[in-house]
Amino acid sequence: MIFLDNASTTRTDDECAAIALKYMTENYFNPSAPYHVSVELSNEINRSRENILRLLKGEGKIIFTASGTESDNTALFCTKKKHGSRIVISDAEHPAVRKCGENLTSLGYDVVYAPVDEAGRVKTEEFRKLINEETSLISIMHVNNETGAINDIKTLVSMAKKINPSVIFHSDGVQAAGKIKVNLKDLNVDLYSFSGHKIHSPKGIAGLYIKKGVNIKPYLIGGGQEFSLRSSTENVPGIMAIEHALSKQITAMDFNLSKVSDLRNKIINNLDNEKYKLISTGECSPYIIMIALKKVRGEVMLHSLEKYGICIGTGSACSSKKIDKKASFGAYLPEEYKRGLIRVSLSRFNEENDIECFINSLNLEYNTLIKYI
Amino acid sequence: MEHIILIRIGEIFLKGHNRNFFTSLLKNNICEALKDIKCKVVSTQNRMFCEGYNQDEEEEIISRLTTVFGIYNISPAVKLATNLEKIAELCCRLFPKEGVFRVTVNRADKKIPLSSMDIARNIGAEMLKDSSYRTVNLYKYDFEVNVDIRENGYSYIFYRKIACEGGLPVGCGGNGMLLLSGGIDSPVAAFLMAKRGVKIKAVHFHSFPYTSEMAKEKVIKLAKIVSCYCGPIELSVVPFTEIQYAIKENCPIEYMITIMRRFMMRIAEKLAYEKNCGAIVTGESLGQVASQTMESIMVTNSVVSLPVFRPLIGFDKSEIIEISRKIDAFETSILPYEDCCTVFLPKNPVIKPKLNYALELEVPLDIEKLVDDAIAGTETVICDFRE
Repeated sequence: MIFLDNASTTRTDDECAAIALKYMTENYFNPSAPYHVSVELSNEINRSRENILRLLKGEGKIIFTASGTESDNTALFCTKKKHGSRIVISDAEHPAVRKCGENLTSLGYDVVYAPVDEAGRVKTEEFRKLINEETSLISIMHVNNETGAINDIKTLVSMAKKINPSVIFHSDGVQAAGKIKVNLKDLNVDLYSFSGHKIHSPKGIAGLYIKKGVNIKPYLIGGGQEFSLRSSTENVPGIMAIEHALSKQITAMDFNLSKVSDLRNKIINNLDNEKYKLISTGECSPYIIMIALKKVRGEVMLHSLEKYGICIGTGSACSSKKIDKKASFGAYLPEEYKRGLIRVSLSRFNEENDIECFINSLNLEYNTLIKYI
Repeated sequence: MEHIILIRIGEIFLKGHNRNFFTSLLKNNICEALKDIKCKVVSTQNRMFCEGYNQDEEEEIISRLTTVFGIYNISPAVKLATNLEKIAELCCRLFPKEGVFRVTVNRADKKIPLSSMDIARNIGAEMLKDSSYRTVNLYKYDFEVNVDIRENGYSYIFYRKIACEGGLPVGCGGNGMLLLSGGIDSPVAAFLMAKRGVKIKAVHFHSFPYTSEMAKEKVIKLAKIVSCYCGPIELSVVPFTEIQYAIKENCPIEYMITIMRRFMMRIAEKLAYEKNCGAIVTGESLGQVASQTMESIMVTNSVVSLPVFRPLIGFDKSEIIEISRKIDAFETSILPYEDCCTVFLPKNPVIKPKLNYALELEVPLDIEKLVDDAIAGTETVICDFRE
């Protein structure tokens, strides 16, 4: 199996799995119980929390959630905002943010969408025009989950805060944290989502960074865990695993970035411009590469590559029956490429021969499929 | 006193000398539908009973029986040895203490000296005595007390009749090979033919990589939904891409669908003979799409000699959707996956194809080999809603 769909999820790191197992079978206690082993466990969770905050260079606190989607929902729904106020999100957000935006529109908020360029990156000047004194919340993803395009969050935050200092700025960093360098203090965001299973921890654990001084309402009410903002018995195995995963990724950041960049370059340098169009241009995370196939449907290519044991993704702009109306960056594409989006996403587990096999298979299948168009 | 379910059989009544064949088939089908539930099915001359089950499972049994073709209606009932006093006593106890009611007695056991009317009157009187909040009205009532006194020495008390699908027991009408696409129509066609006693087997054409694994799973799910009515369905998934490639390479695009459907019919017939089916079943409805005009149907039909049953031929789409919703297939049918017919869909498919021209177009194709190769790649899945 050659797994090139690492933006959807990743193989769990053996060490993370072993840590999670330990907290399931040995230290399985409820951290809220009053006896010694639980108190110890509760301290360990807080130590993890602090370590993650340090790794992401934030000032404030981390709450653990069950998914990136939950973190995004918390950010969008639980921030304080005046009814009817303006909310700015980008045209290329993940559905976890976009659908919240649609919901907030129906609740009476003035949700507006910042246009993106052909790689899915927010256009800075057009973004600026959307911010006004009525703006209460902004949510712009750090790394685009389909194209890998990196948004200049630091500039966008300072731009927004200059116009309206009270605005809350959230960024979905699910494809960034642990993969590219993230310095939350430097970015100056108020809220930041990250997720474990995109960086080799098990599924079901994620987090939301809340900058010091930023207040949010509880998302789940109950036993008062996570500073009473997200009641639920803590997912201790997940928390311990995500901390380890993040720490491992950040320690080896330069090494991983250089390895993955080499793989990415190998793909890009081998793309025949007659058949394929690279969407991931400009400043992009090397982990995600989006390619548009000329005339061949992305979904068909995805299935064709299955017979070589290769798993890739497609773009959401090419859902099987209708072309997504949003189709943010897809809107820039010539008609014959629009349904041909494929996403290749890498991890530190990928090797050079995986990429060679992918390129050869892609070309072979393309040449077969194009004959029957 | 014992809880039982009374099963009334439908059209089988009309059968003369073959009646035993129909009733024993129906009994088998009922047993098959209930095979994972502990209960006993007993058949008497003109009705059947389900008994010996755990009371908690009564609703599940009822819901399964409503999907067995050949049953007209059912009534959950209590059974007791015939004793008029006991019957009256039970009616007082089992039925609501207030409300307007009527009593209907059916006395098949003529050894009892009282007439049905007399017995009904006596039971009604006891029930009125039992609670002063009850009143009788024979025409406008909240509940009806039914008492059935049989000649076997037992009586049955029940209050509701649950309508079932009617039709004939599945299997009495032979086997049919259904073309199952994954759309709205073909599951409905399966339902209607099964209602007339046809045991359904199915063929699905899969165009990997153009159609996904999910599209195939959807078809399997649809077959499972329909299997609630038809019993387990043997589904043959036939790889179709090579045939589509061959047509695409050799024939004009507007004849793509016509020639494709001719191949589908050939494969369906071959599988039908292999699997002992006496007919092909399709979900075609006249004029619905280009391939379902009278001319198109003639051209596609002409490659087979088995009869082709098209139970939806005269149905409007809205009528088909109504049945699709009723059998719970609609939500699955509309899941948006490509099916083999939407791949290589020409912009302007021919509406009135000519048979001679189709024959001419097929000359360069090695039909026998294409059909045999496709059949050789068939994957067989048994689709049963219980799994």
